[in-house]
Amino acid sequence: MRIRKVPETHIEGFKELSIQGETYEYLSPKYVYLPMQFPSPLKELKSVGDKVLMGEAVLQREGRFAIPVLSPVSGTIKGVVKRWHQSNKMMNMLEIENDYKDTVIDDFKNLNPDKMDRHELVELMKTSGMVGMGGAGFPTYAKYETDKPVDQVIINFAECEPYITSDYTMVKLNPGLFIYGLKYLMKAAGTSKGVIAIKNKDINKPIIESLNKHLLDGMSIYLLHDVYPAGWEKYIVEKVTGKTYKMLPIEAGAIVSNATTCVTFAKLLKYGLPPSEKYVTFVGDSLKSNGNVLCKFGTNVTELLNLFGGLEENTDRSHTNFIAGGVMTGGAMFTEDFVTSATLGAVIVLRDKLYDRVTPHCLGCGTCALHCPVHLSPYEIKRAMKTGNIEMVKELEVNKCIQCGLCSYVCPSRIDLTTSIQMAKELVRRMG
Amino acid sequence: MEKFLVSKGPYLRSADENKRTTSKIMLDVCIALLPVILLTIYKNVIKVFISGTYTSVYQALYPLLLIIIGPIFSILLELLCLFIIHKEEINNFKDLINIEKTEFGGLPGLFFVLTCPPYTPLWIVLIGIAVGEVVGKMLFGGFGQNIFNPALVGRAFIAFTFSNYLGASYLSPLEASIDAYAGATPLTFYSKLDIANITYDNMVSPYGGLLNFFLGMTPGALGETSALAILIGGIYLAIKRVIDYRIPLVYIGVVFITTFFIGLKVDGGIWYPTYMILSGGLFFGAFFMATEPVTSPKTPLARVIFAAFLGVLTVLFRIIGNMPEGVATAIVTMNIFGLAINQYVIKLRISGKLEKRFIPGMVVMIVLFITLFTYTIVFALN
Repeated sequence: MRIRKVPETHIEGFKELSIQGETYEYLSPKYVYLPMQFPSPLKELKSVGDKVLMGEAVLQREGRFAIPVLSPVSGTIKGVVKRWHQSNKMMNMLEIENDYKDTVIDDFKNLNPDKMDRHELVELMKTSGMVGMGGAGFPTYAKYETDKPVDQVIINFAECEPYITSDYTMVKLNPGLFIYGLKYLMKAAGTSKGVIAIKNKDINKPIIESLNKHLLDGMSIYLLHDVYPAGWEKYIVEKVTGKTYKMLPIEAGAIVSNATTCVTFAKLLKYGLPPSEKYVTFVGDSLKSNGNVLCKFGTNVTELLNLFGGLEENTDRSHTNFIAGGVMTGGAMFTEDFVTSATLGAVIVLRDKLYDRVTPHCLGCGTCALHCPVHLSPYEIKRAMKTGNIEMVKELEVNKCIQCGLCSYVCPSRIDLTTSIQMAKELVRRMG
Repeated sequence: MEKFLVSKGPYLRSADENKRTTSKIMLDVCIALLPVILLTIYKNVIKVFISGTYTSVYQALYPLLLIIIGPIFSILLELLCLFIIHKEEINNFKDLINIEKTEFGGLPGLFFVLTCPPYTPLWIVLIGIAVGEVVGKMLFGGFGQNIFNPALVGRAFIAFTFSNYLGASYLSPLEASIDAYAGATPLTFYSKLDIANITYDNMVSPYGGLLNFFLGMTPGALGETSALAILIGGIYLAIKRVIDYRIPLVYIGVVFITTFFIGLKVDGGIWYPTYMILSGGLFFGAFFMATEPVTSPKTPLARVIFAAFLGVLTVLFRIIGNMPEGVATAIVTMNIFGLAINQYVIKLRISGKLEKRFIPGMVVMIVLFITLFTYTIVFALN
């Protein structure tokens, strides 16, 4: 298959904001909450009142990519409560009360990764409920459990969303663990080649240097351009392997994992710590201070927010976006009272700049089409949606959209193209 | 606790960073028009004043008056249309102004006036703006919805309806006093000549050489005469990425190449194609009209095809059709085909077949061109 040139757009990173800020650890929350309906209804393995250990499976995702959800703390299941999820929906969650003992389940104690073979490592990924921590939350084992030949493991360390420095902080503080994790990810994939794809920009220079010192045989660093969407899996695979694919990277002989996932795997193998914690970036012009915090999955964001001093005093909530995730692909929340998860990388609080501004109609400049990484014509899709021409929307292949948000970002008239296209995509999907 | 605002993502917009907003783009267009306007004021007002050939101050200032009245009338007309369209939503004058802010109503009027002869009767100008603004823009739904370039709709309308009045309104009092200017503009003069008489001495010498064409010191529409001033504005726009450089480049290039071949049969001089691209509204049309974002295709390849057809059409209209305003007519015609070309190209682009079909497409284009060349040359000689 021929590789198509992906339009590359530089976006201001704003990464210094959180890098210069404090780095906290908040590993002993009183309660953690595990969503019972996301992404689909989950099967309950434990019931209310049961004692659970850290790393014990409490919920089970069923279906094709079945995977357990582990308890991030040890304690007691107190009940089922309604809490806000990061998708801005209220849903049932298991409330687990922490006993502050962090007693880890025996399964993960004294692992000896050197003696484990490929299949045991993949099985471990499955039993430890490891999911990709970049944002999609795809079960990790499903990528590594393959009969196709694997040429290389690629670590996606692009972190191309502006503001977020979650992966950055994780790797900067644990370069040794990162390499250790990659070593066994390579083993789990049955390959001797590992590539770390990182953006070539000034703030990454110290990390690249320190990683260079730690690199083992078969590992290399690939420098990506400082563009958006450099963290798009397909973009990275095409850049690194020179091959492209239709559905999954494995078609190009590659497995792509996120940098935090890699460190999490290392922590599991080396310290027997099940996947239960990750850095969340807190940043924005409405926050007292910026920085990163290492927290358990399921921690209430309000508690974390207090570490950073909370919101600015004069914050006008009706003109402020409280964003769960990145500014490009994340979504605004009604309230700060929601819980973190394995896929939440950042909490960004920004004043909305639009509310007092008049926005013109589409100018027809075609900028959105020129920047679209999958070569769509967003303005045409929006126009077809407006006139109710579903056939046209289908012809314009709206299903190819990767929802990167670039069309809205570049639009000089500030039109919400991404939202329209998401709606069009949803509509076409539902109609089959 | 009060809820946070939930607005639509992404929450970072280049328009918010004030990098490239639609208002800024429109402002850039106005800035790019400055050299054109300054030069036309120099040529049609200041020079006339200095020479003292005017009969009244009103007559001397008339071109300036048009440049001022054009956008103002256009805005007023648009306010009226907007008031009728948005009657229910408008409570006071401020609401109306807020809607107008996103419509950029002055530009069609300004562009229209710049394509008019300097001494066009005022009533014709007002009719032209009214047709362009109402039929060309507001009936389609306003800014961003129009299919045709509003200014050129008005221009084409008056060109076909009032051509008798327009012919006499090109010459400034100063130019009228020069005997050598046998016809109104170089192009109207050209259209009256037999093939045998198309020579450098007949065509260019009366106007004092090709440099005068380049500088814009020949009779012609207000904003169209000076290739230099248009080039300055156009390059500014291209650097600011408001317009795609491909359109003017291909458009002017195609006209140059086509007329070069025709010139071989006529006289054989390189002056002929140069004359052809420098006279009439070609430069203005190529840099400011054909590139107008609303009505031109959105993808690079579609733009190239669009511009190439524009070139061919312009030459056809000029040499065979003997039509007034070949450029305006060509652009309005291509606005429609541009849509179709764009639709075709974006579908190829999405499916990834664009790269595959690009070369065969180009071959087809070239064959088409050669056919049109031959056709043009044969008929031009009759």
